[in-house]
Amino acid sequence: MLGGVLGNVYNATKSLIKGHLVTLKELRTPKITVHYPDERLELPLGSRGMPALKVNQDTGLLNCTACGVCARECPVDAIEVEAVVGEKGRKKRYPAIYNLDMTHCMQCNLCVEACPFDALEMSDAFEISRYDLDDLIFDKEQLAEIWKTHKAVRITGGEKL
Amino acid sequence: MSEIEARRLKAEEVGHEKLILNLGPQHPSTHGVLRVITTLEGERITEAEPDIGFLHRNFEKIVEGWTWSQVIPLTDRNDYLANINNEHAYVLAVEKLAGIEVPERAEYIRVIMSELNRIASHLLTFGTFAMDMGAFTPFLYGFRERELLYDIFEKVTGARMMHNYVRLSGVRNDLPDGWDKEVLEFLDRLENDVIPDYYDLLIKNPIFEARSLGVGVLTKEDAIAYGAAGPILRGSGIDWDLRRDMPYSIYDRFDFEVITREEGDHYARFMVRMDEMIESAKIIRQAFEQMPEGPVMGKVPRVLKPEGDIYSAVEGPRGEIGVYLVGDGNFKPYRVKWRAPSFSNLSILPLMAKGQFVADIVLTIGTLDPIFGEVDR
Amino acid sequence: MSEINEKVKGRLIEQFPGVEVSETEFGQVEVKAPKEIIADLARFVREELDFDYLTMVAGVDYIEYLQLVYHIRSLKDYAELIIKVDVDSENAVVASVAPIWTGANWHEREAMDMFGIQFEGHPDPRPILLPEDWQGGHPLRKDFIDKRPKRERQFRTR
Repeated sequence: MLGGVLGNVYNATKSLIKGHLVTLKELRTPKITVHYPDERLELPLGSRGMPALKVNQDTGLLNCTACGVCARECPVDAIEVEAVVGEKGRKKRYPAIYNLDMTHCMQCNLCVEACPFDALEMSDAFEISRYDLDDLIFDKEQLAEIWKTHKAVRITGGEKL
Repeated sequence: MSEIEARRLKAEEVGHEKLILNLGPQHPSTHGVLRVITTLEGERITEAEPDIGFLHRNFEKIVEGWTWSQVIPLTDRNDYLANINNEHAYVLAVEKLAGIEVPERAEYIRVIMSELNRIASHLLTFGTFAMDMGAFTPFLYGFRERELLYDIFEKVTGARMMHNYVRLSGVRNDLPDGWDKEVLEFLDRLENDVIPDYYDLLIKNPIFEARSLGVGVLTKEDAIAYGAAGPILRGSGIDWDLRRDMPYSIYDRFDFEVITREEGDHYARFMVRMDEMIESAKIIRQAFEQMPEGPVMGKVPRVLKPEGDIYSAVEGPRGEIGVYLVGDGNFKPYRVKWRAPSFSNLSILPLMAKGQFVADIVLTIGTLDPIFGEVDR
Repeated sequence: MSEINEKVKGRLIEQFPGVEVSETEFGQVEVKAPKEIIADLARFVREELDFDYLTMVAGVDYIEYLQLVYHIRSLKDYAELIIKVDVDSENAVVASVAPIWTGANWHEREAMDMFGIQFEGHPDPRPILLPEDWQGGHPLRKDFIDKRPKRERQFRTR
């Protein structure tokens, strides 16, 4: 009886020490936790945040032609595009309205793949929380601003990162 | 007749009072929103009834309004710990139905990513199972390794969880330079450092053994009858793995073992998962050796309107992920039925919980490892 | 592989002369059976042909009629079998296979929720994924209309 108890105590102590040795070993390994708002991880190339509208560096205008392919391809209908209407009601190849509803967007990259005009890119902007739902609907100026201030990558399928 | 005996007889005459105990839907041990209504007699469970559907969003109805390729990001959300496996299951079914060719290299990348995802999922199961048992430290160890693996994922897919990486006829982008070295380094560390640590930390612990050996035994016959899948089936001694027995994609080119254990208890299921990680690592190494150069995306027909129906399945970390598709010659699927392994696995819970101690039902749920994104769909 | 399929096909035609047996291009045996014989057919394939592992029961709404698709594996022979049963959409009653494959229990409850198919002899016919007091119809039927209030979409124009 006593032997059984002693055996149990021995086993328990042994496993306890073994477990603690694993923990002790971690004292020597480098720290992995990143204290987020103070420290930041460097995001790898192609990290997907929210989509952004590409700006032509020479003219300062958007590359978007308001064709609406992205809006059609979006599974959750997060994109709304309307072209500029010129004289005689003809549509011009420039967006008057380009709204992205980040309350719906799931950052899936399908709009970028669909875009035939090199106008959309996935930026690595992930800090998009706002106090108000209305502020989560981004218009074209804000989307262009995100493109200017963040790293953005365009992947349309098959290329190397 | 002694006094104690008399008291016992009297108690039997009166009958025990039954207690109905409600676990969940918000309960830290249920891995999601699962409600279990248990009937207790003393400490023993006489009846356990899972109540599911709290996360139900009708995936199958939503995708009926989407085109074939738009469905892929949503399949990620079914089993959110095995995203690539889910995407692979769906994409494979559509490719078979529409007769789309996939380039060699893309197949290899899919296999590598699937197996990495299996490792990530099993690492999490290691951690949560330990936490269900009351050991908090292994949970952090499991999560740390998983986070490092997710960093590796992010370099390829751009996302940590919802990858949306597998495409019809290939994958979204090629692997970046030097990525394979990083993966191999991780696998070396996993095999030589991490898993031995897990043995020291948890698996050789007498408390762990006492609480898992011989508890929650699932017999072979029951496992088959209930349609249990994956580690639960193999933990009950049934030598069945879709990757070997009905090879899909290019799994017939790899040499790996299917881990089985005869006992059918918590320990067996847990150890099947632990050993499967090493087998997955083996597959990844072979895939890197065999992987050819070339394009990663083939030609998708501009008008994708497949007709007919198909059932196709892959082996995910939790078992057989099956997709039944019906196409009616339209650009939207007519019907997508998702056969979720956790759904079948969870249906065994009433059988396994019967007669257990109430403290062990938490472990039973942990070892069945249901993911409620896919149970409720 | 195909030898087993031939054997299965032969046995099925011999036992049930009325059913349509074919092989799909993906190497699965497909059986189209009238709904009256589903219980007998299920028992036969379970006991005589060793199809012991039911993976799923799927309903499909073809508007004129409903269809139930059973996918069954044989873990011994590495074979797959698909049974398709047409069910009238107005009066959708079919015999349950849950007594034969226990795992069919939840799958049939799901089909009950989603398509309104009643399973005779089901051990536990209650809703599973939908709430117990759900009155909104059967979601996966093609004529289902979602009557719940929609979330209002906000768009900003400037």
